[in-house]
Amino acid sequence: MRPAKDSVLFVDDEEINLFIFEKSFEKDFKVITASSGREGLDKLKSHSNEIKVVISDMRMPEMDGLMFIEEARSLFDEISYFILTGFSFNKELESALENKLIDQIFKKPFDYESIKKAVGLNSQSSF
Amino acid sequence: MIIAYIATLSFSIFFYVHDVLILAYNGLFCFSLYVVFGIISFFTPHRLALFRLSILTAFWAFFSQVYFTGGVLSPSLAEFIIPPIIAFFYRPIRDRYFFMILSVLCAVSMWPLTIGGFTADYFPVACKIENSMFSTLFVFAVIVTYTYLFRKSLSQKNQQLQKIIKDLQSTSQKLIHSEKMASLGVMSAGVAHEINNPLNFIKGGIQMLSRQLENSEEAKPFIQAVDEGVNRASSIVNSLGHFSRESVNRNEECDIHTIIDNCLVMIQHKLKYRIDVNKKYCDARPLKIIGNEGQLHQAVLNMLSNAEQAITEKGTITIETCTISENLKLSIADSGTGISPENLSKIGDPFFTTKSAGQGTGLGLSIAYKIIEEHSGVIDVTSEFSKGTRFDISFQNPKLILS
Repeated sequence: MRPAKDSVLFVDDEEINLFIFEKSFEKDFKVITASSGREGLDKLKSHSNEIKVVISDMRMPEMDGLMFIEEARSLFDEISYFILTGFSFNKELESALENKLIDQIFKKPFDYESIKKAVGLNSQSSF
Repeated sequence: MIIAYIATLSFSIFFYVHDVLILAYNGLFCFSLYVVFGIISFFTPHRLALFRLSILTAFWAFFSQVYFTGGVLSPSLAEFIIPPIIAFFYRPIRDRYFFMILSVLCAVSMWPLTIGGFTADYFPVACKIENSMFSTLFVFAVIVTYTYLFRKSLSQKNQQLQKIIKDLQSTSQKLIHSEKMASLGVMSAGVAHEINNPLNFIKGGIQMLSRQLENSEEAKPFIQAVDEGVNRASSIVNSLGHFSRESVNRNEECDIHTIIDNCLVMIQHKLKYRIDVNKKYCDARPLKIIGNEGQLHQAVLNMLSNAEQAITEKGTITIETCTISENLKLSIADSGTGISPENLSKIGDPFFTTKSAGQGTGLGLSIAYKIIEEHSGVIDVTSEFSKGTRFDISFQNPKLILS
């Protein structure tokens, strides 16, 4: 079964961020949101055939962005994983980028164009 | 030390040849000399210890001479055994071990001669009397030498201590500074993260609003204002990130000349028709150091923009590079307003600025300072009010590569 539209899973513990992200990109692609890493994993499992890109916040309670992505990558390796964070520099993120755990880091406040471009490229290349 | 040894040895020989009677006359004179020594020692840096030492020695000299006038044993032997023992207990004097060794050497060299006093027959009494004056002078010479050496070693020690104190002070200053920077780093990383989150909604929200109000000309300036505000806030927050960087790749080959040229291009629009840039590169060839190119760009850019901003109307910026042995020197001088002496020490402090609110964050130079320090560079600033400011940066042992 082929999905009608490629989706992006956005994980952030702040509701406003989820809302803004969803509204910003609703015309470009389908956005699935999750407010925690745990919820993100559930959504990934239930929408595994349509999610092509995952964008996650870094600092979240219980499970941080990297822990979430690590677990998600062990389940779905073909998806592209991005981090959207307020940190300007972080050792952990740097090494995650080096180890190809994450594909790209975006900084908050997010830049609409660059995220759109990166998501567009990654969802096409995965076909 | 050698002089002291020779003096002591000679003194001992002369002392030895004295007849017991002469010793009795000399004893009092020697005693008064020891007292003089005690008084002199009062003015030495460590006068208390020296004073007690000299008094003890004087007492010993006097009593030993009185006691040993029986003539069985020459006083020199006992006299040269006791001072080292006394000296041993005077810990404040660093060189006491030398004096101990010295005295012991004297005593040992005198040993065969002192038992039985068999030179009594070889020297006539008249000769001994003549020599008594010399022997007293030798005693004095020894005392003076000792005093001098004590004082010298003490003042040396004093200087060393003062140097150590100075070093300690500067180290603690540096520690405080680095601690300040480290806590600023931790704080700024946290603040940056917390501020970036709301900035994220503001930016996203205003993007949405601008899409919805695309046709409203009235809304445009407001949207632009919010957008500008977000951008400015976010760039300030991001520049704070430089204080929290724990590690960056610092093994790139960076050509200082290219970096300067790139930075000049970046601020070209501000320099045009207003500021002459005078480049004095030591070498036409690239001058490479090992470091982080991005960071060095930022440091040089910050310093150049500062120089540019210091010039209110027309002026010149002089950039010089040179290599002195293992060091790479870079100096940036402007003919601007200069920095007042009371501000000169603060220019490296984060958030220190003389610019009006919204014009500068006070982070530019402190970031440049931090980057340069991380590249083992030392910055020296000289400034003359209304004449200009000159920054001399010296990268120490920068692994220079001349290609």
